[in-house]
This record gives sequence, C-alpha cells and structure tokens, in this order.
Amino acid sequence: MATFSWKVERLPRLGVGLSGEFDIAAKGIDACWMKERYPELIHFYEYGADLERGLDDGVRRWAAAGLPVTYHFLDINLEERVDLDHHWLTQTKELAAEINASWLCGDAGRWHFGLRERGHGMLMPPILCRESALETAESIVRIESETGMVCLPENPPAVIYLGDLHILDYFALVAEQADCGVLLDCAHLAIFQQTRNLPPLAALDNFPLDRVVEMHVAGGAHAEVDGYAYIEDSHSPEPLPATWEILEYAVPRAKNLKAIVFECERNAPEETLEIFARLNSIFPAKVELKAESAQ
Amino acid sequence: MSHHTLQKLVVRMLFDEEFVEEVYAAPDRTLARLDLTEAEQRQLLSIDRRAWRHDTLRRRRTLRTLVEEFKVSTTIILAETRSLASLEGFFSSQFFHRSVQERASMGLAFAEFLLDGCRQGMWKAPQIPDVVRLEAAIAECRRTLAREGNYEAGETPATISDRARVKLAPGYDVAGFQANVIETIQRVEQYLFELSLMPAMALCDDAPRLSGLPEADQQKKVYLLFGPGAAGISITNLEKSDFLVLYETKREVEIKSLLSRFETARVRARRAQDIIAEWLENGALMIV
Repeated sequence: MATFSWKVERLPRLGVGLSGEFDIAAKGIDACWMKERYPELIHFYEYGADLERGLDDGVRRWAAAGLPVTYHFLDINLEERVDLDHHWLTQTKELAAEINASWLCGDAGRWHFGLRERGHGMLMPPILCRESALETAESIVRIESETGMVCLPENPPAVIYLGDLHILDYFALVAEQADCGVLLDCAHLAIFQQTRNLPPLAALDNFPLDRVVEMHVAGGAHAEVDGYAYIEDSHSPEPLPATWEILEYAVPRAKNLKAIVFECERNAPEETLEIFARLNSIFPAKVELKAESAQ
Repeated sequence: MSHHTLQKLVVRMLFDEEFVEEVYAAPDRTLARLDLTEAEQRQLLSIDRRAWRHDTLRRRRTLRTLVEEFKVSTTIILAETRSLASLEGFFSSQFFHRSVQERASMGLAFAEFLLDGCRQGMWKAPQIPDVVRLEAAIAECRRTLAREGNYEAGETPATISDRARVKLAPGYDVAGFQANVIETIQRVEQYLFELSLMPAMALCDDAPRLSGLPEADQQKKVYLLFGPGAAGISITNLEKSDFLVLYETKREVEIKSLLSRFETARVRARRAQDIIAEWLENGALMIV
C-alpha cells in the first residue's frame, strides 16, 4: 500500500477553487463563467456529485477545457462498511475519471440513513468514537485501493455530535489508520467547537496538520430554535470570524496543503470576489521562489 | 453497542419529537432494547433537547419525497382527512421506526403505514387500499430494478427443459386490483394537474376539489403486470390466465411444478406452457 508521503507528493497544487453541484449554473454560480471572468481568482472546480444525478454540462465543459477538478462525493457513508458496495465504487471511479479528477473527497459520516434511496438523504457526522474511526479508515483504504485515487475524508457539519472524541482526534485517528490525507473544513470545525463550547482553535495543537491536503471555507449563520443557539452551515458569502481564525492558524502549518475551496456556489458572484481574493493572498496558486540576496 | 445502533437512534430522534420526549422522560424504558452503555446514555441525554428540532422542515422535505411515489393515495387521504398531520404521523409510527432500525426502505414502510391506516379506519375511502397496493408495487419494482439491474432477455432456445426454473425478472411484478383502480388514478392525476396550474388556488373556497372518484368495484377485478418501461415502471393489463401463471413465478419455480399446478384442465395446462414461453420471450420471465 502506498504511503501518505508517496501519495501526497504526486498530487498537484491546485490553489483556490470554487464548489458546485449538479445543475448549479441554473441556480447559482456557473464555474466556467466565473473562471472566464476572474481567471486569477478561481483555479479549480470541486464538483459535488452523486450517482443518481451524475455529471452535469458545467463540469463537463470545465473538464473539457483541461481545467483541474476534484470529485466531492455526496452519497457514501464512510462510517458504514456495508454501504461501500461494488456498484458505488465502480460508478464513482468512472465519473471521476471522466472529468479527470485530481482526487476524491467528501464528508465522512453518513450521507443517508439506511439504504441509498430517495428520501433517505441526510448528512450526519460520524459517532465520534474509536470503533467508527476504524471503520471509516477501512472504507478509505478500500476506496483508494479500488479506484486508484486519493480519498480525503472531511469533517462534517452538524448541530448534534455524539461520541467521546473531539472531532479532530477522530480524524487524526482515521488518517493514521488509513495512512491518508484529510480535508479540513474550517467552517464545520468552527461549528463543532461552538457545540462543545470550545474556542475555535481547541485541539488543533495536537492535530497532524501535515495530513491536511485540502481545506474548505464557507459562510455560516447564527441561528436558534426555542432559544437554543447553534451555527447553521449556510454557505452564505461571509465566513464567520472563527472560520478565518482556524484557516489562518492551519494554512502555514499544513505543509502538504494543495487546495482551498470557497463553498459559495449559491451566492451572487460579485458577493464572493473579496473572499476569493483574500484566500488567494493566503494561499497562492503558484509558489513563488524568492532569490536569496547576494552575500 | 455499536456506533451503527447509535446512528439509527439519532435518525429516529431527529424525525420524531414525541420520541425525543419519551427518551428524555424515561430513558431506561425507552432505550432498554438498544443496549446503550451508561456513558453513551449520559452523552445522549446531555444534548439540549431543543437541538433535536433544529431542522423544522425535515419531515416536510422527506414527506415530499414519499408523496412523489404515493401521490394518488396521499391525495385521496388528504382530501378525506384535510390534515397534514395524518401523513406526518408516519414519522412517529412503528413503521418508520422499524424501517430505520432494520435499515429498510422508508418508501415501502410508508406504504405499510398507509395500508395500516385503512385497517385502523384512519381513512375510509374504499378506493385507498388498492391504490396504495398499486403504488407500492411500482415502488417495489423500481427498487428491485435499481438493486438488481435490468434483465436483458437473450434469444429463447428452441426447447427448454421442464426441469428449468423460472421467475419474474427484476423490476417485474403482477397483482390483481378492484376493477376501477386505473380510472381512480386517472381522476386523481387530472385533479393534481389542474391544481398544478396554480397551486395557491388550493387556498380558495371555490378551488377545484377531489370529487367523483369511480366507485371501488370489488366484484370485478383487473389484473396488471408491472415492468420496466421507457420512463420508469410501466403497467400492462393481463388476462386472468396470464396473471395466475405469472403470480406463481413471483418466487423461483420449476416449470414442471408450475405446469402441474394448472393440469386439472388440459386446455389450461397447454395454455400455461404458451404463457410461460411468451413471457420468457419478451423478458418478463427469466430462467434462473
């Protein structure tokens, strides 16, 4: 089995990207249009896909132009061994290959309860315990082995998290067991810390940030139900301060970071430009080599 | 216990506020069968109970998907009960909870809930049971097809041994219904089409109402074959003799044994052979 170091060395640095999903151009930002208008801000496209809907014209046009894509799955329960069937593996591999995706990624936990069937869709975090982390790691090893692609598990958003582990400790265990990279969603982590009444950077000092290959940033909204306050993963244009704090702490320490996605596809393009510019200044698409001054 | 058990419990609590109240009020009794450790139970109960109802539209979103598959049954039920709660009750029912616990299909559990409503007298329109059974048959075929894939009938051999075993191909089913079931469906679809022209008209006193459903005629039967079509599952009328033979092939059966069940009348026995050959040829039956 290839080691994480071996795998990550072969991954391209993608820079800052835009997220999208099936038919998003009709409802939000058309990635191709955005790339054409703001080539210096958008460097790759992260396409959210499930087998039921497959690829859309937007991602096909993007890929046909030879631009980089990542494949974000929306339909597999990494935490549930029985969900990882042959059909999902072969079809996902086929779709990802069709757009020449650089890697696979997606929220680790559950995208549906029970069967992968209409009406069962519901994004849920994993139960944060060792047993679940081991099962998730097993799924990632199998996906990487059967697709030949890197698979990055992402920390999901939720209002309710159960389990005795901190979510970062859970993903550190997954990464260690599967010897894989991870996708750190800064907005989701901010949500988790809030649910546990922890400061934004809690547990990051013990987290192996060298495993972080991709990061996500998105807007959130403070909400409440009957006086109970929580953060909604709203994907609005403005990330919360805690999200920025996590991102700015993690980026300089994530030596294998290859990509940052701003999840904002349902907003008006002009509302997102400032954030894209800020992300590009934090994480430029190309590393510039500076000549040392003559001695 | 495993994290899988806990996840199922989370789903049930996210959908069912009454269940949440029961869990918090009497955890030992409500969670007894789930074998939670003390620590897990403590962790669960430490969640602020208001957090479980943060997504106020979860039931409605899910109900929309269910109603898409059972649109005729649910329309007749809503016309009769005038109560959305009558359908939302599904999420507090044993059918929903069991489907989550057993990792089964929620759509098919919804069909069970609707049929149980007929048995319990929650809805009384005589057309409902057969319409539910028909929509459930389509839902079941759709799932079998998705699970097992389309069966491509090859060239039928000139002779087939009577020791060969046959069964309905994936996505096929047969069932008998009261004679006016198709007319009932057409009437409801016509009403829904009219309403779709301007959904807000449902708020008006003079809005179109669902009325004039064909009488449920239990004395006469119609026999239907469900099978993969160009746009999902299609429905075809069957002769009674075809229905009787195909009904026996819902489960894998030896041709010889199948023919013997129809040998009391020679004509029927010969006809059974023809029926099997015909449906093998067009792919509704397959040799196992």
